[in-house]
Amino acid sequence: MSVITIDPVTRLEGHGRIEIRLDEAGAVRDAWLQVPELRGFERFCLGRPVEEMPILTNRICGVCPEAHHIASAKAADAVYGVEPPRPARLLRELLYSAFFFADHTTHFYALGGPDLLVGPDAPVAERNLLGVVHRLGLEIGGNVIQARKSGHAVVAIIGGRAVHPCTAVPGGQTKGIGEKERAEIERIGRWAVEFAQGSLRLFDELVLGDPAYRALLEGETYADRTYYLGLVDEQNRVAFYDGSASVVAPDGERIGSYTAPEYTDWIAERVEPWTYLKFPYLRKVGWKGLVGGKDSGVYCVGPLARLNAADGMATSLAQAEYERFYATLGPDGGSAAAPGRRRRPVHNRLAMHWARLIELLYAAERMVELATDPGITSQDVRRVPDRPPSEGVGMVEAPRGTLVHHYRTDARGVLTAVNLLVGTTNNYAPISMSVARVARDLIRPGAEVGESLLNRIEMAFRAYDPCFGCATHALPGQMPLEVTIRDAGGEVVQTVRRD
Amino acid sequence: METAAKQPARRHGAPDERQGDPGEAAIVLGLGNPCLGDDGVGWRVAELLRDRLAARQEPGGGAVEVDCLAVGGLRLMERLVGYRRAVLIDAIATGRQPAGTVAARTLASVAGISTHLGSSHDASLAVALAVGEAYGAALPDEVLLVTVEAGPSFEFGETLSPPVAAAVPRAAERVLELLS
Repeated sequence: MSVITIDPVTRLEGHGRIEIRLDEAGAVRDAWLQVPELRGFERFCLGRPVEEMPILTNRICGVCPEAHHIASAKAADAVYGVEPPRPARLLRELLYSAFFFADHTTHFYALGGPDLLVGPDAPVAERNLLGVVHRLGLEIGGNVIQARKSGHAVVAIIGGRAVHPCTAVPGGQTKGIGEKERAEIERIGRWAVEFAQGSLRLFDELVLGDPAYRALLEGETYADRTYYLGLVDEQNRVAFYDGSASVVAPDGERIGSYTAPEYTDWIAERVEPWTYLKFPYLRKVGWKGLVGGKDSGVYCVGPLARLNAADGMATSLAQAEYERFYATLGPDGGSAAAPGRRRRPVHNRLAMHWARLIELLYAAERMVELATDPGITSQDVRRVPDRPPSEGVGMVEAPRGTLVHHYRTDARGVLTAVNLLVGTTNNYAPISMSVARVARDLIRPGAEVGESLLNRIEMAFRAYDPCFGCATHALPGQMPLEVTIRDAGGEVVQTVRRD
Repeated sequence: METAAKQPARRHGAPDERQGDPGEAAIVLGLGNPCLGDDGVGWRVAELLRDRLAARQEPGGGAVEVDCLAVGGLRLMERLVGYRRAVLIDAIATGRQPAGTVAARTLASVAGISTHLGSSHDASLAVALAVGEAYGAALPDEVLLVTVEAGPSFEFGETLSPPVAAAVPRAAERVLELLS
């Protein structure tokens, strides 16, 4: 049997590795994702006081410490059975919106941008953020730098530190903000709205306006019909900080929704003999393998999934973009869904980039809304827990998908059980399916597998912005890409290497 | 990646990036994850140096700042803004030398082996520095590294393996040599 290994996927942490298995004829038989898993973080946490967790879990990831900090604080709230005062919830969501703004900006311009803005066939040396700057000019690049700086500034104001925030504690926040800080955040938020609108215009011009990209967005190569999962507010609009998890079928039917403590009723994990990865799937639907469709419990999380799982956006400009997104790419087109039926989802994984920009705009608008809420400068930011601790679940949307922290403690608040279900883990099955689909479409028996082809396979992977760093960054951040193609006897017939 | 081989050209930043006249200052940054065994060695070396460097003055009168960081890529580059010199301390995992081996290296020589310089979600440090340069950020004239070879396995825990723990004072000495 022939095996092609893409190891690792460039521009992604050195943990991801793609295996593509060929049949005797040289066609793609199967493909999957391999992630060397670091076990033991949950065990490492046992025996510690639960209030340490918002700081400790913050350190397991250098990419989204804010997401772990907030999810952990919410779980700790639940462990103590305490609901933070409204001003504390506003502050947390404001910090979180600023974090989303910086993170989505970085993904679009540094990770997705090279594919979409520089071009999938551009030389490798140019397919990075510097290439984007060269292509788009210094002004846009400067705004990207400014966007990151602005997002981190808000995180620092509310979170105490720009990189590893430390102010969310069980029952609320350790400090509030003053009028001067509020005004600064409002100014940043208004600038952020303009930046997000500019980014959407850029997407329009360079991606939707390009016939080749448009064909990729509307074609079947990158489309997988799975379930979608994402947090929504009471009106079923996309929510990042809090809400219930909405579950939507490939045909658009909402099969239900659940609150944080109910997650184990909905999500199960499948162990397959050929990989040590555990694939989460919808318990109520069941595991049918790495296949799509309404009978298969495979579900997808992240920006596209959040839009598909919701009925709209909670801010006006983002809502207008949401409408345009479905009018352009949705199977229902510009027409409304039939009476009594939900809008049908967009399944193309490359549409995740557009969905991410719509969320970028939402995050920016939400920053302004929260910064202008009269309660935001209240100093009533903590309700000190007075009940004995026991068990709690915190659920948020991280940029890469739904994130769950689940803790159980003894009567002193010392951890006796910890379970984390992180964004990318939810996407193991759909990522594997996407890679397999693209590989099957593009790799032809007997034809040489070139770099451009590999990049198109990686584009499927990168759209998810997968993150395997939740445990560590122990492997090199930049590694050569090596693809080895073996014949049925195991002999190497072709090696493609990219440094 | 081509740009990884280039040391960023000397350049001084826009006025707003140079507040507080940091032009003569240096920064020592321990990189890594402090709760992942040997991966946290950069932090231990930085913590050892913190007190020793607190009183030190750079030749031009600036201070030496010591910090620890668990991020790479753009966030790491952003942390380097405003310093003339930078020394990073990081675990590496080449598997080709004994655990605890200490070495001083240039940025270019570690492309592909250092553990924390890049970020999968944005850029390698080399690309990040080049992007920063393009916008006139006041980045260090030179970025040096002190690396410590890690043991074969990374497991969660706050202790270093014995050969890596033994290397901490030696690595600290190398940082001081580079600064002198």
